[in-house]
Amino acid sequence: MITSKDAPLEVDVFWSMRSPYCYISLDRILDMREKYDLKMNFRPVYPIAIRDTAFFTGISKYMGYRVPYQGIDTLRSAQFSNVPYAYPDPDPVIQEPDFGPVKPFKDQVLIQKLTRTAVAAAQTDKGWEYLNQVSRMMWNGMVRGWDQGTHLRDAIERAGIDADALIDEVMNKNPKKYDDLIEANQALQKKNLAGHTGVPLFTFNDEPFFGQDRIDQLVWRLKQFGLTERGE
Amino acid sequence: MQWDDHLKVNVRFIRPILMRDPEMFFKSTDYRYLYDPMDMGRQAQFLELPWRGYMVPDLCKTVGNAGTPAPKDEQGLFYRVYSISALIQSEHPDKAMGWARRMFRNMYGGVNNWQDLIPEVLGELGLAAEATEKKAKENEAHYFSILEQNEADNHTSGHGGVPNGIFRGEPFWGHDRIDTLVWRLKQNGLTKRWPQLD
Repeated sequence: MITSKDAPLEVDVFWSMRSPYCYISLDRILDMREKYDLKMNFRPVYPIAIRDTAFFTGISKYMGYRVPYQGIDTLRSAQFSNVPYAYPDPDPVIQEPDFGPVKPFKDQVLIQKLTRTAVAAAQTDKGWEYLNQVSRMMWNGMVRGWDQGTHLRDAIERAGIDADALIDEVMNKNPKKYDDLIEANQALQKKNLAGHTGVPLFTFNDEPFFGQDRIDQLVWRLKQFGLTERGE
Repeated sequence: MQWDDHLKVNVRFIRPILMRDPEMFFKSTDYRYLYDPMDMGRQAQFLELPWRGYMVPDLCKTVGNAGTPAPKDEQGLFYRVYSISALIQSEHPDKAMGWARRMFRNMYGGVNNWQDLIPEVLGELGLAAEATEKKAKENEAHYFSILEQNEADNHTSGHGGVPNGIFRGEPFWGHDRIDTLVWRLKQNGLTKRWPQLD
C-alpha cells in the first residue's frame, strides 16, 4: 500500500477473543497506542480451535506437553506483566475438557457473538475500547459466568456502543455480513511474508511478529522506520 | 555471570528435535519453515548478537527439499559433536557452558567449516583435543545414553523443547522466557554478586 510519508505508521493486529496471550498483551498495546504516533488496526479472527477443529487434538498427540505447558505459561506471563488473569468461565469455545474435540460451528454461539461484535466494533473505530471493556471483563478474574445476566451487554455499553442493537444486528439480522468481515481478516492475515496465522500476530509492511513476547521487537522495528512519540 | 554463586547453571545437551523425533518436527505448522528463519535472524539483530546466517555445514545432514535426516552413516558430524558434548557435560561440567559458547560462536558467527575448529575449541578449554575426541568416539553409546537421560528429564519438566530453563521443576521454555526465569529466581532469593573490590 502506498501512503504519504507523513502518514502515521500502521500495524495490523490479528486477535482471537479466546486467546490468553492476546489478553495478556492488551495493556501493552493500549499503552503503545497512547504513547506513539501509530495506527493500530484491530482485526479479530476466529480462534484456531474454530478455524481448524483438529488443531488441539493433533498437537496433543505429537506434542503432549503443549497444552499443559500453556496453562503454566499463561498464568505466569500474566503475573510477570502485572495483568490480573483467570481463564474465562465459561470457555468461549465449546470443547471437551483439556482442549479435546470441538463442537460444530453452528453450536458455538458464544464465540460467534464475541468475534462478530468485536469485528463490528472495529468497523466503527471502537475496537480498542471494546477490547478494553469486554476482554478485561472476561479475563481479569472478577466475573464468573461472563455470558450470564448483563455482563457482556454492560461491557459493550461501557465502550460507547448500543449493545442490544449490536447483538441483535450480528446474531439475528446480518450474521453473515460479520462472518464475511472476519473471514476477510483471516484471508488478510495469511498474506504476511511467512503466512503465519497464530495470534496475537502483528504485521508491519507484511512482516509478521508473532506473540506477546515479540512486542518489543515490533517497537524496535517501528523505530527503525521513524516511529515517534505523540506530541514530539 | 552477574549473579551470586548461589546460582548454579547446569548445561545439559539435548539432540535436535529433527534427530530425536522427526515426526514432531515435520508435523509442526507449515508457516514455521518460513517464520522461524525470519524470527531468529531478527532476534539476533535485536539482541545485537553477531549473526551470519544458519551454520555451514549443518550439524545434521538432511536430504531433499523436505529436509528429512540423512541415514546414520552420513551423520558423522552430529555424532562427533554430541558425543563430545555429553563427555564434557558428564566429566567436565564446569566447562560445558564454555564449550557451548565457543561452538556457537563459530557455528553462527560465520566460520565456514566450523568443525575444523573443534580441536582448537577443546584446546581453549584446557582439554587434550585428540584424547578427548578418541574417548568420545570409542564410547559413543555411553555418551548418547547421557543425552537420552537429559531428554527424558527435560520432558519430565513439562516441556520438551529447547532452550528450556528448569528451576525447581518449573520449565521456562524459549530464549524469550529468560526474563521470566530471572524474575522467578529473584522471588526465590537470587542476588547479584558483590561488586569487584580493589
